[in-house]
Formats: sequence, structure tokens, C-alpha cells
Amino acid sequence: MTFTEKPAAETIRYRNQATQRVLKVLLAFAVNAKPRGVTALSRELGMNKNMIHRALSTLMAENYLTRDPTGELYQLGYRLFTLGGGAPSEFDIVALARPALEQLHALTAESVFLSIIVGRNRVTIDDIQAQGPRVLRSLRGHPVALHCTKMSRVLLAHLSDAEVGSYLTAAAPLARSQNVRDPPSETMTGVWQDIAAIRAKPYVLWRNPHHSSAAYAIFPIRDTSGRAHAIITIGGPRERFDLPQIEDQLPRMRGILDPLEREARLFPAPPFVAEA
Amino acid sequence: MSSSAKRALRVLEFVSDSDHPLGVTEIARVLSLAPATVFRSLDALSRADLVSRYQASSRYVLGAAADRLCQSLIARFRIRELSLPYLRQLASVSGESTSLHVRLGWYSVRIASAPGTAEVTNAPAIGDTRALGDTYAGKAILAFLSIVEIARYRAWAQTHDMQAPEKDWDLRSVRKRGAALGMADGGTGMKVAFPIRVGDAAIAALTIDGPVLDEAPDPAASPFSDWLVIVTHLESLAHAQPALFENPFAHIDPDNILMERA
Repeated sequence: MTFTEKPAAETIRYRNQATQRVLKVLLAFAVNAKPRGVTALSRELGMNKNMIHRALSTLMAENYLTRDPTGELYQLGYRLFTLGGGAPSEFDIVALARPALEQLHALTAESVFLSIIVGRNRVTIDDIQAQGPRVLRSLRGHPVALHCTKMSRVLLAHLSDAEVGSYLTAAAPLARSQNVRDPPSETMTGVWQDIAAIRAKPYVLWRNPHHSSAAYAIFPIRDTSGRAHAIITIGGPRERFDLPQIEDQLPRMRGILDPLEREARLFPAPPFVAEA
Repeated sequence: MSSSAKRALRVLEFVSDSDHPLGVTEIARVLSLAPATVFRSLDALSRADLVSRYQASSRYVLGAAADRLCQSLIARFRIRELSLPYLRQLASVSGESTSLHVRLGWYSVRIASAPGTAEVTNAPAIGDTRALGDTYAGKAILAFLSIVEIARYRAWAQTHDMQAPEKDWDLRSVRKRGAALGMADGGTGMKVAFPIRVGDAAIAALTIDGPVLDEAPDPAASPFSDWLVIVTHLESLAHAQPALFENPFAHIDPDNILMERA
């Protein structure tokens, strides 16, 4: 059966005014989910308080809106879960960075890591390991304190001074989390000096001073305010991936990372909230 | 109350529930409404972008504004953004997709997930809402509620024909292990749910949504103990800053929250 009795457009518009007002009030909370009262909504939507009150009653009765914990204001209601909307359009760093990791690995044939802050640690959450007898390894999922190692400090350096200060106070006395020596991590002054050096450049090229160790290129993936969503690290043994080789490949590495960095700027980096 | 608005919201929910685009006739028949009424509802919903025409046809699907509303609601739970790094860490060590479920009255609702890194992983649905006794995520929360609350849940579940844990030992084993187990899709192994506790009560659960265990684990043995450490870190954060983990619906009597259609 086909529906053919379409009412005239003008009639529909007239009959739908009440419904449209109710939906307009509901949609006000899609733009700004902050709880608010009748007066604020009336001002915001240019509708009189009586209309707002009637719309709120309808939406409350259906649990599309509820009272907030203060009982004074209105907030989005739990019934909206039944709409089964899609996942929030969040910045999924793992999915978005994966193509870049693959291209960087293809370019260098070395190990590539994606690391984020989890609590007070750096954690590698995705990686592509190089193959061969001597390759750089970073254990996926393993936490490393934010002041230890150059990779961690690149993430730390992209927090605010207040956040770095609060982290260092909570982490004191500073302890090494790995067997290798890491002089900047051993004192607060050392950490702050390294942070200043890291902040002075858009990326970090780093050669571990230990015998037979590795060289790295570390790229922060930042939001518009300069906070880091994550870092991407490419690293390998110095006999084949030392700083001169890295510098040769740097323009192509940055070219690979450009699209990801542009995308990252569209989303705010996660907040830094660390456990006590 | 505006009955025309109420009808429009019924139409919206019906479109949302459907697994295929819906036309006026089908909506009118199932909801026992006049086609003209349905047409007017769809007109208002379209103008609000809550529904949209499917590929320029005469059938409708949910619109972008419905997604935005759901996203705004989910964003009200600050636990969500605070948990995401831990979900990603758990996904990276387990290889499977992981999720955050929060308590909503006597239900649990999934509000975040991190995709797994294994070749085949689950794609969990955000907003999925189930009675606490229905799933391993809910049981992980239920087991860590007070005896009084568990009894209230049982009474509610009985009244509303919902799932209650079959025996008391079901929840005791969850408490003893510190996690609830569920059979993975396809029955190839078990998935795990860890409670997030603040004070004496669970407020949420972190789940590993794929088959990661062949049998009930020894809580002290790896990898279970490694997963537990990650969850414990998130719990420490909740203990240190409970205000960040507040649930915007915690003030509503759980008995008054019903997620079924009116």
C-alpha cells in the first residue's frame, strides 16, 4: 500500500508547531549538554517560559530530559540511550595512526611505536616490530613512568607546567623504572631541563648514549593547544639507524605524519588526571 | 502534555529500533497511527534532523541530530574520557576490544570502547543497555553492590521479568575472583568484566569483549593479574577523585528507571 493522502504543507506546518517546539528544546541539549533551567532556555531559544515549561513537561514525561542532581535544572535523560546513536565521534588515535605506523615502518624498516599517557605512565598501545637479529623493542601495554626515558618525557613535556609540577611532586623521589641509565630522569632539575629542550623543537631526534644502543625519532601528535594525544616513535640500532640516516628520511617521515597531525588538531587531547 | 510531540517521539524510537529504513505505511501499521499522523511526525522529526530520508527514498532512518543527542548524553559521564586510556591499554595487552559500562539504575550501559588489535575483534555497540543480571558486565557491578541493593535488584528483576543471577554463589564467585566471566560469541572462550569500585560499591565495569580465557582464571596468574593491575589503576583514580566519576543519574531511584518502550 502506498501512502498518498499528503496534507498540504501549510497545514502540516501549523499542526506541527507544538511538536517542533518540543524538539527544539530537546535539541538545545545536543548543542550544549550543560543542565539549565526554564529562564536560561527561554532566553536561549527565544521562546516564552510557558512554552518552554510545556515542552520540558513532555520531554520529562518521556525521560528524554530529567532533573539534574540539584533538582533545580534540566539535563539530558537516560531514555536517549534507547535511540542507539552511533559511537561518539572521538579521536580514535589507534585507528587513525595505524596507516602512518605502517608507512613509517615501510619507509625505515625499523620498529615503530604509538604511545599514550595512561595515568602517570607512558604506555605503548600499538606497534610494528622490525624483523632481524637487532631491533628496537618496546613492550606493548607495559607502563613506563612519565619522567623516565626520552619517549616518556616527550609526552610529559606536552603537559602544562602545572601538570608537570604536580606529576613530579607525586612521583618524588624520582626513581628509574628501567635498568639503563637515564641521567635527566634522576633529578627534578634534570627533568625540567630536558622538558625545556624537548619543547623547543617540533620533534625529537635522540641517540641513547649507551654503547650499542638505539637512535630514535619521536614525533608528538598534538591538538591545537599543543597538548599531545600521543607520540609516534621510530627507532633502531645505531649501526643502521643513527641520526644521519634519520635526518635523511626526516622529510618523508614528516610527510607521512602530516595528515595525522592535521586530523589530530581537530580534537582536544585527553585530560591529564593521574591517580594518587 | 503535547500528544503530537509524544507521538513524534514514539515514531522516533520506532525508527531507531528498526534494522531497516521505514516508510510511513509500515510505521502507521505497527504503531496503530493514522498515516497522516505519522507523516506529520516524520515532517517534524525531519526538520529537527532527528530522522532523515534513506538515500532520497520515501523511507526514513535516524538523523544526525539523534546521534548528537546520544553523544551529548554519553559525554555527561566524565568517567568515559578518563577511562579511555585504560581501555586502550587493556585492548593493547589483551588484543581484544574493551568497553566501559556504567551503572544506570538496575541496568548497565556501554558508553565507551577501544578496538582490539587482534585480527578478528568485536565491534561493541555504544549505548547497549542491559539489566544488570543479564550480562557479565552487569554481574561485575551487581556483585559489588550491598546485600540490600542486590535484594532490591532481585525484586525489581522479578517484577519486570528480567534476568536475576540464578544463585547467590554466582555473585559470590564474582566477588571472590574480582571479575565476572561470560561466554564469548561463538562459544570459543570466555570474556571478562572487572568492576570499578568507589567506596564499597561498583559504579562501572571494564570488560574485555573477546575470548581471552579458556577456563576460570587464577587471579594471581598472568595475564589475568596484569589486566587487574590496569583496572586497579583506574580504581585508584576514582578513589582519589570521586567527583570526576559521578554518575549524572545516580540521584534517581533505580526502581524508577525503566528502559523499555512505553
